[in-house]
Amino acid sequence: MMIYIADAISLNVNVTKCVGCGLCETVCPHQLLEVTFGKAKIINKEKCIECGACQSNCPVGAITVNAGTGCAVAVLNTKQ
Amino acid sequence: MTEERTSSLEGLTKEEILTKENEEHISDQSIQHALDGAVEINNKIIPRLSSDLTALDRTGTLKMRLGINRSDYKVPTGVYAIGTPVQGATMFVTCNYKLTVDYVRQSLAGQSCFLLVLDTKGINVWCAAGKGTFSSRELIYQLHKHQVKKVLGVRKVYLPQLGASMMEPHLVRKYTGVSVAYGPVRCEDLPEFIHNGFQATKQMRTVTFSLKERLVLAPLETILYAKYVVYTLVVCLMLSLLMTMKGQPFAIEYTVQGCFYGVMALMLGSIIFPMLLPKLPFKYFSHNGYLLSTVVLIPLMLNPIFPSMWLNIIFAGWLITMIGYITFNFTGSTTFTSQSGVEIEAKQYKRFVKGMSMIGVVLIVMEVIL
Repeated sequence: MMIYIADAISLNVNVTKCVGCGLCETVCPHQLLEVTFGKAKIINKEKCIECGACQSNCPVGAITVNAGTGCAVAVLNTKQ
Repeated sequence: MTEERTSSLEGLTKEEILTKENEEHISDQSIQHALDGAVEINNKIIPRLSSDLTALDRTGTLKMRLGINRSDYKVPTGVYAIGTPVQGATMFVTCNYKLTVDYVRQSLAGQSCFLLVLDTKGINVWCAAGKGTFSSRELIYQLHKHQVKKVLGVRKVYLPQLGASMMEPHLVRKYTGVSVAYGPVRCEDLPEFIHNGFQATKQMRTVTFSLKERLVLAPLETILYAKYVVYTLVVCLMLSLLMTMKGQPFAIEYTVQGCFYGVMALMLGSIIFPMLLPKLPFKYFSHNGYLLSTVVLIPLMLNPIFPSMWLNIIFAGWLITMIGYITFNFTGSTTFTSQSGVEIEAKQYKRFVKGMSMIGVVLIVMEVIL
């Protein structure tokens, strides 16, 4: 799979909050989260597309990511 | 750092979550031919969807891909039966984009199950999840409205994995008593997923972006960006007018030749770029676009269409910017670009457009003065 600009990927796991349910691992479309020893771990951050699936599925709010569609039209039309 | 996330349902009362104002009435015109009787469960009549696609579906798909009547391609929301499901049968969830419903019902051939169609405004699952219409709130609303647990006896629903972006399974269970599980990314894997005891393999859970997946969008992209050929025509006419202002005879052939370059640029951006994407050297989509634009710029410079060099340079600048825009926009169609990455590229692309515009204005002034 190709990799896009990964300089500012916002994915973050709060290990203290994580309960190790593994839902983030299931929903990640690029398989970049992995639960080892009962805690979620980011294994390939540069592959993250910030879709937000891990964040919304996490039952304890342990994952944060600045989720968005990653679509040029939407970004260009947003006034900064 | 990102902010602490809050639930999408925060601040809403239970009543607000379970109701919807101004629910759109969706005609069953697009799916009417596929309705094949009904099943009755606890006095509730569930329309049945055939798993066979007909010529009508195939011509409809072709029209969609070509952008004809795109806005009118929705399926009414609610519960449908596939085969002859009984109380407590498996329920799959999908969006109300006709093409997706077609793929799903075809993939579920031979099964007896329910299909719950959510209101995604006729948008596919992943895009709808990104836009927030394929969401926990909509799922909770539909599960409650159709009394899925109480009347149909369904305790668990299977969602397409790409519908997970705005889904909060813990909240769905809290408000409806129904659990959420995820199926494969692609509905063609549904038969194997079911055969595996509702377990998705790693391969079923991973998104891909094959040549076929990239090119299926090309016809629609080409049609959507065809307006840039018209803009190219306008640019050429303006440049030709500049020449007439300087006393040279107005020549329509410049415009005709310019449009030919416009069509080439369009094809490069909307067809060649997606085809070559994995082989292109840069991470920035627009940079790869500038690289591809050499395919039109070299013949343009070797065989200038305007008698003035400045006008040719202005026209070349227009073509580069146009290809950059079309290729950058392809970020919205891919399965591997991120919001933060697109924001970085957008800043750079805006600077590029500003720079090109300024150079363009300077060259036009020089052309008028010199």
